[in-house]
Amino acid sequence: MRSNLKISLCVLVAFSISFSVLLLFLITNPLVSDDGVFIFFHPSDREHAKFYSQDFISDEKKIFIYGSSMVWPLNPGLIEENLKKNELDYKIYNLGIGGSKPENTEKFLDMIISAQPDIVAYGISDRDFITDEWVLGEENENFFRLEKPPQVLPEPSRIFGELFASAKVVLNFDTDFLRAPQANVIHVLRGPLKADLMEVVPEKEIEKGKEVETYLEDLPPVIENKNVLAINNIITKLRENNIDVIIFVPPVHKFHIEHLSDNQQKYFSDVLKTVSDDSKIHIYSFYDYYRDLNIWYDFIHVTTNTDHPYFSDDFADILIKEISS
Amino acid sequence: MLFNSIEFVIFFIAILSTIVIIKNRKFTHLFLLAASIFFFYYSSNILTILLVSSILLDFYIGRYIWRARTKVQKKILLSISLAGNLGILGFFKYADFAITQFNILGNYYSIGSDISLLGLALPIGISFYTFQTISYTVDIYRGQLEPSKSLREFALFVAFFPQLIAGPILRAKQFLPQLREKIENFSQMTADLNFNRLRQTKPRKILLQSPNLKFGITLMALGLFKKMFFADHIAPFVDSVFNSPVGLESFKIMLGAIAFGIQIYADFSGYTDIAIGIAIILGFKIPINFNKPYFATSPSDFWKRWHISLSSWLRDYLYIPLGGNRKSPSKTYLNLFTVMFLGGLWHGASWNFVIWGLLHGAYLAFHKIISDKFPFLKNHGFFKTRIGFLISIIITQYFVFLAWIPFRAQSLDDILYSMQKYIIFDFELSNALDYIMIHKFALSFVLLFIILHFISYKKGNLVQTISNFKSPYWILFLTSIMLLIFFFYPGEQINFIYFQF
Repeated sequence: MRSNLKISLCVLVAFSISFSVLLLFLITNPLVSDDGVFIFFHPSDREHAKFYSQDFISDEKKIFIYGSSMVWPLNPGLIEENLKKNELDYKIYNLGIGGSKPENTEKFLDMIISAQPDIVAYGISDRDFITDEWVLGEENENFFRLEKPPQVLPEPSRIFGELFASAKVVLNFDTDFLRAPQANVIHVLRGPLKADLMEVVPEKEIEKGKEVETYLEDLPPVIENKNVLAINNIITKLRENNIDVIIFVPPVHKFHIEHLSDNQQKYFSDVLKTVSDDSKIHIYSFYDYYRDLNIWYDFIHVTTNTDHPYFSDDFADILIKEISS
Repeated sequence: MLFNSIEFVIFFIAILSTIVIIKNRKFTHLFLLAASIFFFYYSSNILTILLVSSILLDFYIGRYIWRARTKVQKKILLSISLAGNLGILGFFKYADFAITQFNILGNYYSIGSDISLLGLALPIGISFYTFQTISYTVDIYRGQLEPSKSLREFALFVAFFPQLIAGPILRAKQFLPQLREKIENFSQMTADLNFNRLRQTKPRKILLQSPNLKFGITLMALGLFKKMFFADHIAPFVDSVFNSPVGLESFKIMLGAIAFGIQIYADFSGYTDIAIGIAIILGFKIPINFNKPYFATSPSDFWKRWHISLSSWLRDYLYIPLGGNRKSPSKTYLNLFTVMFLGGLWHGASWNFVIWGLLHGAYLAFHKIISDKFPFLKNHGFFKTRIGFLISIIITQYFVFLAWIPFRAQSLDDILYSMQKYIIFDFELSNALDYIMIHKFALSFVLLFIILHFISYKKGNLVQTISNFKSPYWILFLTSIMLLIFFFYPGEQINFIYFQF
């Protein structure tokens, strides 16, 4: 019993020392930017910070693709192959983040410019402008597929999670600063962040998911829409720094288009017109381009399976056209 | 509940504290069983019913097989057990895969097959506990094992939480005796009368013994270190290669394959180390699962070192019943293919694992052909020299890492492209140095792991050596491990790869 106690004490001492060292390091090297905002507050943001802090190959020509998960099916390898056939040697980085809107991307703008890509291609969709702020929660993620078992019994992890969360609120104790200082571990991305293989799903399965998202009916004037302002700002800033910009609309399933009201569809058309006029840019649209093809994962994503490379191939054609011009 | 989560630390401390307090032996066992079920319920919720059903089915069928008087009765009962276990496994794990293949074939032959997918949840650990319960009933059927007389003990064997989610796959004859201990003053005379055997033993008292505690904590620390320091930091590099490998040069694909081989080994053997460490702390011995697999000198040697509990299970319950190598050479090769095909499929309902399994089947069959045709090679002096030994390792590992490509890649196109680039080296090395510099951190982790792996291969039982350290040095070891884990914590808990199987 005595020696068990001694061993437990050893573990406790080791934990106390290592935790104190960590705490000391964090106090002396806070992970906050100049304006006092935590640099790493969202996993995807953290990954991005690591991505931009890498040393890119100096003479490498780069194309960064941004947008929501709707741009995930753009396969960098396939696009590069298409470009190479036209003797264009570019490295493609798909940096789409699930649920990201232009407002989110605007936060990275300085980091994007510092990485000096040759071209930034941005995929905008109606969801960026006519949905409210939304957070990807468990329910949303699992709506389309029953990846988790039906939760008949109470979920213990949720009970504990809520318990911890309420304790944090009561104690007013922000634990974010305790995140490990692993910014020095560079993570280089080429494919989309956390995107799993999205296989083709039969149409009737897709139909089940079409009513999930709610869209705003009470929309602000287009010129006041935060995301319209953000995308215009992104285009302007990038151009000021000699970075070419391509704006495109990723494809959506016909169910999605049918689900939108006339008002919402007109609003998105107005958004595209405003962005095009204000920034004097041509907007390429894949909006209903593949509506009749059986290549869909759900009502807003075409498959990432490379057996159906249409989106990547067509996107590569746009790049070739833009680069040539 | 992940071993690398704060919830598990709280759970484990609560278990240890309770075990110290409880004096009643049976109650300690019951408590451990309840804790194991809770551990499973924490991750699987309602699917705990499947685990409980599996326990009940095989406990009672095991008993009936033992009591059955005729071979036919035994066979029928065994068939019910196999159908129940494999039925649940097949339904939950392979139904959608089968439907997809059926739809593809249907469309190919223009039948217009469009059966909806079931979208079933994959019950965590089902492949592992199903194999455990199958081995239990088969051993009883073969007369190699007496059925457990206590449902509590059998349930603890199946649901023992350290190994429940991802193995090692336990055998009842290894584990059940550990739940009982002999009654010391039981008179020899009574024993000679061969009374009910249960009366000669009693439930073993679960004690926390200091050598076990120290050894177990050391093993757990090393397991966490492998997982959180190595596997989780090599993973992003592997993802960057295999998320879109088409277009990459040969050396990048090779680096990706090597990095994935290290990642999956660090991940899975890390999990196993933690599982064995927990079991040792609780006073149980569970078998090792890995024995320096990347120092294997032949494909058959690799399978004696990699996922040992699965490969020995496949050998005992599949390969040998199929005839093993007792029949014609062609039948032996076919058996190797069949076993490895099913072994691959066991990992998951995907062609990736089938290809991986078949590749290993081909390696084993080819190695067997060579060994049979040229028996002198086996004992040739060259392979006993250092250089010969090294060449054997390099050749074996070249093929082992090649097989990791289909295991990790995401589509058939990616697999074919990557394997082609791995086999036919394109010598496009113009930006190799730049690429290595960009990925220097991840590649440093790979290199460091290889060096440590080599040291542990040379030094033998490193865990025992470390757990024999005096307290100040042991604290230093634990502090270093914790510091590295804290400072390199990736910001989120990352699942163990084998949890999906």
